[in-house]
Amino acid sequence: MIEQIFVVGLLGLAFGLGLTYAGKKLAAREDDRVERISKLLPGQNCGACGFGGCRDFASALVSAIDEGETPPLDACKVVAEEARGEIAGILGIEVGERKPLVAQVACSGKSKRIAEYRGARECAAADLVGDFLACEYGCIGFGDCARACSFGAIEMKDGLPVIDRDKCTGCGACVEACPRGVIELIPRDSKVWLRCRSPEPGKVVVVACEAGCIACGLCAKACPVAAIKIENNLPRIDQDLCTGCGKCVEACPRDVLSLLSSSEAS
Amino acid sequence: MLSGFKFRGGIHPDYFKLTAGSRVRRADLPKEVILPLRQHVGAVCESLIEEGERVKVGQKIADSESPVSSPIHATISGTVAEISVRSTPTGERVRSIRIESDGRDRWLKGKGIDPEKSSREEILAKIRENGIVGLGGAAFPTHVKLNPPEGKRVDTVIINGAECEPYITADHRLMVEESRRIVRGAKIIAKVLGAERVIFAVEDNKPDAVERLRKATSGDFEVLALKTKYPQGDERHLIKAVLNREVPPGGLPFDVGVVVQNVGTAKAICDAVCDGIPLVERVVTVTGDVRKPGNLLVRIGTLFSNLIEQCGGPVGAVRKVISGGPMMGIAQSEDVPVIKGTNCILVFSERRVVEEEEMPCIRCGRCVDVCPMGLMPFMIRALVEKGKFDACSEYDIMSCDECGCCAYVCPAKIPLVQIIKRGKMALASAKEVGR
Repeated sequence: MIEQIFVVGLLGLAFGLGLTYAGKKLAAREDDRVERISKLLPGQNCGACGFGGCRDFASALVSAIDEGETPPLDACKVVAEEARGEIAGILGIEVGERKPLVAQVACSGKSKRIAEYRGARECAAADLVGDFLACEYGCIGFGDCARACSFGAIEMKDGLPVIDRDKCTGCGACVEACPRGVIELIPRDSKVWLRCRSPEPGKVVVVACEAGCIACGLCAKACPVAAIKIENNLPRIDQDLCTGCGKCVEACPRDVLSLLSSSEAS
Repeated sequence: MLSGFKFRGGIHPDYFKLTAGSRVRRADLPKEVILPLRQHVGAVCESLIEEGERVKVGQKIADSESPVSSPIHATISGTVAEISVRSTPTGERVRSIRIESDGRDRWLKGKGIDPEKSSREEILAKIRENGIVGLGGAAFPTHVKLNPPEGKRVDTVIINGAECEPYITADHRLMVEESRRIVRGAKIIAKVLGAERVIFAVEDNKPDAVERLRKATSGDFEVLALKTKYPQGDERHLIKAVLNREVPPGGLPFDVGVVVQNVGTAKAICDAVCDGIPLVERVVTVTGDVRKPGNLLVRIGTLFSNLIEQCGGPVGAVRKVISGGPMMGIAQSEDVPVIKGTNCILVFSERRVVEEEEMPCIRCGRCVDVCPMGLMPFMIRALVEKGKFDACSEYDIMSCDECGCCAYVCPAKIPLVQIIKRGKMALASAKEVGR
């Protein structure tokens, strides 16, 4: 009895020592930069950067530095300004300032319906037979964007996504998810919001939609600082010039422009 | 005579061949036609004419230099009123030429050639020049299909008269009424391809067509009466059912030494080669809830609304207008013109459209049983909905022919085909961007 305990105990001790030694000797050395960077990243694993998750992104940044390439730091649009600076510090690179972005819906959901749609309640699938909406640029409204948002910033209301600007991080996952490109990323400090993206001429838009932009140009005329130009049958607003005075919003006969205040949850 | 072979899966829907006994009648000459510049698989054609120009029937009005494309001809004589982007029955928006009729139906007559004495190249040129495409529905340019790539030998031509979709009878009537021209077309096809064997494949629910074809071939070619099953008209399944040869996934019938041509295409080839008549009209079945369903010989470009009117108008409130059959056809949301591939206009009123609610998948496996390609539709659907497109290709999503058997049998009424289609599109575009 004693012998057995002795033999098994000795064997255990030998294996234990062997494993401890092997564990130390053969340990995969994790770069501590990866650890530190992933702690600074948001940790939502939203995947909008194109990598598997935050940790995957962190190791991609580090290996890019090690291989002498430019790390794709700006692929992550979610990371806070401060953390971004710290990550740059860890990587030993200089980063300039960036403009925070926010997602914005460029449709007011008032396209006429020319046929009834029955089928999968998924925008990407419905878009294959998308001509049930008179406007081929209009929001389909089944909420692929809301499902794609990792931050719970999108809610569907009356068949149109409503974006909570406080929760939106500007990651762009909804932009990717939308089969029609209805959602755009705009600078967070934009003052005027355009709720249409149809490049069709006015006579087509009038037939297709109750609220679409008809490119009449009244907004451009009303703008005191000449920040609006009509391009591709849509107003293009120069956000640097725009003062947010609201003259264009008043002038628009179709209500496709509205003012944004930074605190406003659109 | 039966081949004794069969293809996997498939279904037996109710056939509703309402118009099987009605002779093809010539539709009234339309006042205007709309001719999309792409009515086929391949490149969009460039317009050869200007707005305001006068054209005659059979005049070539659009063509393309791309190897896979087919020219478009004016189908009525008159004036080109407008060239603009319009919807087509396939759900695309394509530049289209609108011609207003002068009511005189003046033709620009081409010349035929004697296929016996002409070379392969001369015949192919004739087929291309006259805008012949596959008339079974897919509208693949015929001169491309009859020109197998280097090194592929074709030993057998199958003339497809299966017409397995419910409601459609356009090919059926053509086989009964134009069997001689179909057989002549088949001879031309066999000559071009250098194939020894020509087989006419018809489903056994069309005994009169089988009989006519047997008479017309007078024993030169085999005429098979295949056991009726949907989707036998799909060329892959037809080859399996007729010859017991299996086209490899991602491959083409060339790979097993076969070319399949629809009966309507065979007739159009005969018209084009022997008489120099371009593809300006075709037989369209107008059926479902219309007062006088029938088979109409229609000028391509005639609007659906015009043809439905000519068949007595709809019975009851229209809920759905489908281009093609009920299994693979496309529901329309606008008034669109007949294009080269349109074989049927199906009108459904209230009583035929059943609203069904989608329920969760219970994994009963019926979709797997009926899939003629041997796929697992329920699994592919789950993967598409999760966005796992890479895994979809492991489940061979690209082999799906969108025949609709899975959605037809699904007890949970899941729109499987639509979801699979979306997965195919997503996968194709992911490949394009090289991800």
